Amino acid sequence: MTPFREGLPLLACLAASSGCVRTYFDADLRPQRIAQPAALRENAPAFEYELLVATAADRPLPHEDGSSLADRAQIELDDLLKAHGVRPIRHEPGTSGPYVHLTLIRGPRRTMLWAERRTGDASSARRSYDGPSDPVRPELDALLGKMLIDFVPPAPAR
Amino acid sequence: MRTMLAITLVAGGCTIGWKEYVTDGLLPNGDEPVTVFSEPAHAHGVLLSVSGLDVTVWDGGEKIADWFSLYPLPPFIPLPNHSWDEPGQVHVWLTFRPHRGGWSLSPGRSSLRVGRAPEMPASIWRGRYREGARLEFPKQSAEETMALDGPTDIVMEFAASSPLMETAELQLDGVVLEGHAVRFPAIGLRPRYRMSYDSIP
Repeated sequence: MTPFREGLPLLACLAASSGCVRTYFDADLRPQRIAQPAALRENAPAFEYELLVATAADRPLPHEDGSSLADRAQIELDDLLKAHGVRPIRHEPGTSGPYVHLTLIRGPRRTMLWAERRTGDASSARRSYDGPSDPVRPELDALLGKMLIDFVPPAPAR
Repeated sequence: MRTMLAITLVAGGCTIGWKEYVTDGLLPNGDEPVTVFSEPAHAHGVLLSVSGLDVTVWDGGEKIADWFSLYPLPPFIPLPNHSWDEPGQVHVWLTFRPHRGGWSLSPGRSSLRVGRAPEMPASIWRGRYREGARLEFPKQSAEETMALDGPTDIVMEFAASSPLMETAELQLDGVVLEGHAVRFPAIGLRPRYRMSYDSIP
């Protein structure tokens, strides 16, 4: 083994610990600690949505599981939405009925969330929310909270 | 003659300089996708992702001028460059990575807007599947539709002069999943120039 090869693991560890090795948005979104998701109430309002993610393409996409970045981000969004007391439903193209189209723009300084109510090809209410990019999950959670106030009517009290 | 000149310059030492043009992609809200302390040599790319499909928009850049000089003088003698005589058109590279079946693309429906000029559709496009199977390109029918069965690289050409003088806006349209059009937000394409220098030896 050459000294260069022997040093590679050390270099990789140093790079990872210093933050040089960057991960994609979905990995940043994952929680640091796995917590039990909050139980949804029976009358939790449904929130049908579809997601588009826009971010930097500055490194190769992971190949591992054959899912798109938006698919992986949606898993985390579903968790966050449930924590807000709504039942997330993923919108399938071609299905009728109103839904909310979310555009999640992840930049280096700020994260923006555009929300647009759509029925078929027609769109109505549009709102925009933005906040700092870091820490990723709490900041996105805050944006989702603001968006839900505007797009989901409160559940009727028991 | 050119060989002799090159040998003389390498043997005696020379300085070289070159100017590159790249187009940085901007996020749909106009933000830069990455923060950099020094401008990178390559352009910034943007990733747009929906359920079952990742689309990367990027520009490979282009060298537009070269200079040289005998060492230790700074490079000031211009080298002829084919781009002087051939004004280019705007090219946009797109990579489609479908993760489910049913995707198709009509490249002719995408458009570019430069400043206040009207939108112009893609005039020519060509590309290939990543696995190596070549598509029969270029095609110019605006209604032409291709199935996105696997990772696919497409180069779209727009009839706007390149280098761009201002930020342009790319509207990616014509992406369809099982008969239903998927709407993407417009993204900015911002021109940038970069000077580099080197010396031999």
